[in-house]
Amino acid sequence: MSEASGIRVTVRLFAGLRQMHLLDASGDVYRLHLANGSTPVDLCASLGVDPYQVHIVILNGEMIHEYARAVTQLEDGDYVDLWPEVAGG
Amino acid sequence: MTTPFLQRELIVGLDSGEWRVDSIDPDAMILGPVDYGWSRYRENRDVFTFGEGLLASSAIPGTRRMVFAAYSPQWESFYISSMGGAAYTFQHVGVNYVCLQGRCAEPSVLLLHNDGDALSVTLEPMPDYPEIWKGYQPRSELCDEENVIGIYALQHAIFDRFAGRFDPKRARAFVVGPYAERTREGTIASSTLKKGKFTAVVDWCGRGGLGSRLLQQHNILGCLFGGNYHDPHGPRASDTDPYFVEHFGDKGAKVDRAATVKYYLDPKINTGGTLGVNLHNIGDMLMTFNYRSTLCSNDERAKQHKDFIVNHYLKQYNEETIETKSFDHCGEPCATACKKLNGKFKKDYEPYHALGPQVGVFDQRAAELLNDHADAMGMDAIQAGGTLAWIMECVADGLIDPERFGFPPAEKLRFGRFTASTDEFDLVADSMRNARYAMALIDAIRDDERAALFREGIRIAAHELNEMYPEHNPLCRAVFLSNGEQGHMVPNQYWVPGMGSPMPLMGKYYVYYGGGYITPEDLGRKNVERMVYELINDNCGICRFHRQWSEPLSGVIINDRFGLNVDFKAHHFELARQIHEHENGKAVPWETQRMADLFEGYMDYCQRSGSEDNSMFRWQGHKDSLVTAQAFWQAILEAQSKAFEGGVDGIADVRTPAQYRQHVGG
Ligand code: SF4
Repeated sequence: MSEASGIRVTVRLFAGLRQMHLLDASGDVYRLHLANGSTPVDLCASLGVDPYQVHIVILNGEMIHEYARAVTQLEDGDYVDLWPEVAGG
Repeated sequence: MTTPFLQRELIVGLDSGEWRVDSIDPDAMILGPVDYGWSRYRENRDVFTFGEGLLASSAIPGTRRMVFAAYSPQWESFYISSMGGAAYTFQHVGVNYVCLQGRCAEPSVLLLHNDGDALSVTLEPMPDYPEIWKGYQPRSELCDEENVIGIYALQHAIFDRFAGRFDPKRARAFVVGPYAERTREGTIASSTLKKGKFTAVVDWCGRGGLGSRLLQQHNILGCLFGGNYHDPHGPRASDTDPYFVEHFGDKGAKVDRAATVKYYLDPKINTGGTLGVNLHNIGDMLMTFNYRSTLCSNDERAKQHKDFIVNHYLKQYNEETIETKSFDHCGEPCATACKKLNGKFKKDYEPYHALGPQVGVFDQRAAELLNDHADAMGMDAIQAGGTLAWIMECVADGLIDPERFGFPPAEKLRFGRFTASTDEFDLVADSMRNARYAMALIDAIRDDERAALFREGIRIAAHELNEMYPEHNPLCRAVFLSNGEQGHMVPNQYWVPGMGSPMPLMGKYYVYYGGGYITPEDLGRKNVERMVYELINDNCGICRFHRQWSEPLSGVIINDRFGLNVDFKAHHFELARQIHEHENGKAVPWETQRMADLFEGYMDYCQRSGSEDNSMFRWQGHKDSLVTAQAFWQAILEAQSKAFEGGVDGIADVRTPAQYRQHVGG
């Protein structure tokens, strides 16, 4: 994938996801280069995060429904927040 | 094939002991124990109701909760609380609902027995209950322990005295403990039995102080119930499986198992149950030492999570409970088996967090001892954890004089400040030290008149302590939600603004509590949505762990079964709206600086990468964080009111996959 053809997105992992996937020194924010047309599920794959472990996906402040994560296309400059599940009860 | 829509209520006059069974008008739109409790409460605030859902006689797992509804002296409002599995036995009593009116002359036990032909209802005085609570020798065929106290003791005594004519396989009791007598926060507890012997699983009507209400208002210590009534129309799995196949593509048992995997064992993270999953996932959102961790950096919390939780507290749990598969159910056959055990100790996230890390306890031995003691006293573990953690901070920081209240001196605890270092905090010895201190507080608050003000609950105690120690401001360290003049609730153990929302029933999951920043406008709307769907679970007597299928499907099954045509979302929206309207105006904004700190810290946590999400900025960086937090709270309240006023069309649908396909396909 050439730099020109892809998109750049900023990803933040929260709570337990952050600790399971400390990918850089700060452990907070990852700036990723992805192929055009990538979805939140593709993003998870490129981070090595099991999409099953991701409970909430927030794209530029909007929550993405579970059913839509495999079809919503990310765009250059997007911010994506990933949160794990809490069990409740 | 439809079943006649016949429901029966048992009304017991506690003053006279007279009782009667009435049929419920099919047109009264009573679809379950919450509708029932709400309708009776509106007629007379001083009644106490409990009952089962319309699927209690089915074979569907998770449908046999016993649901209690009454005025909560703790929250100063109508309240609902449900107890796992108890309706698996209660269905054999042969009535759907029970309504207690008035007050027994003496503290008594209610006996509900159906011999298969007829129901009998008896009230048995039990004047020696204070002695029983202090210690009781159980019969060896019922229990392996030598001497038991509190709720455990009372259950044994009730079985010994009154269970003779009950079929041991179809009898169960619920009881209250000493905290129901002394405070407004007492629980109702019920142990499950297997082959006539008590197990380690105790189910709770835990939040809202309904145990206190039962004893203080009605003079009822407990209830022994069971019998041999069988619903002649009880649906089998073969009757209900087609619904699961149609909507989820597989039989009920399989769909249910897939939907509840995290409560059983999640192979992807090698743990299970609420304690395992949440301690694994909580990461750097851990709340410890009376929430003081939330004032520290993400990295400090992450370190504490790794060294204190993952490498010790959670590790012990995984080795002792998960690897040995020490799992059980709540009293109804349910393959999810969410009850996670180590010997006689049952482990859930919120009790083992509130009476765990929040009180400076990070070792399972210490947490077991402390939780077991609080349970025996009939305390709500979340309420207890929040209150004791606050007292421990006040003592450790010298804000109050412990001796004045009959509490042990500050040297007896290790709570002075947050630490993430195992060099500074001995995970085993210091956890045990803190657990023993917390147990001493429990006993002092129960028995020592010098500590009587703490029996009034954290809110009143915090305000009174502020008057005693104005220079130290102990109130500012307390975390609680307020309702009415004195109503209060320690929030559920999730660090999210949703758990502090001004919903009419707090302390439950009638809120949105997922992570991420959402505007107060969205949060208010989502809270109302969650209340509607959680009410469906409670009103159907269904365990919320099964909510993935129960929220969209239970109404479909009930409508077909009874030949009804009820829009479940609309019905429960109306119920939620009525409760909101009735109880509206009691909500009180967050009162303490620690509440504001929690809010501010959460905002900073969500903000930390500097994204362009500007909607968050208006809640950040203001001089007075309490005023800002209160403004956010107010905005949630307004959004909730708007959502209630906006009607049911504003409530998003929760759909099964089949319903979703139908929806997107037009
Ligand atoms: S998930 Fe747990 S509480 Fe719920 S029905 Fe099953 S065993 Fe009972």
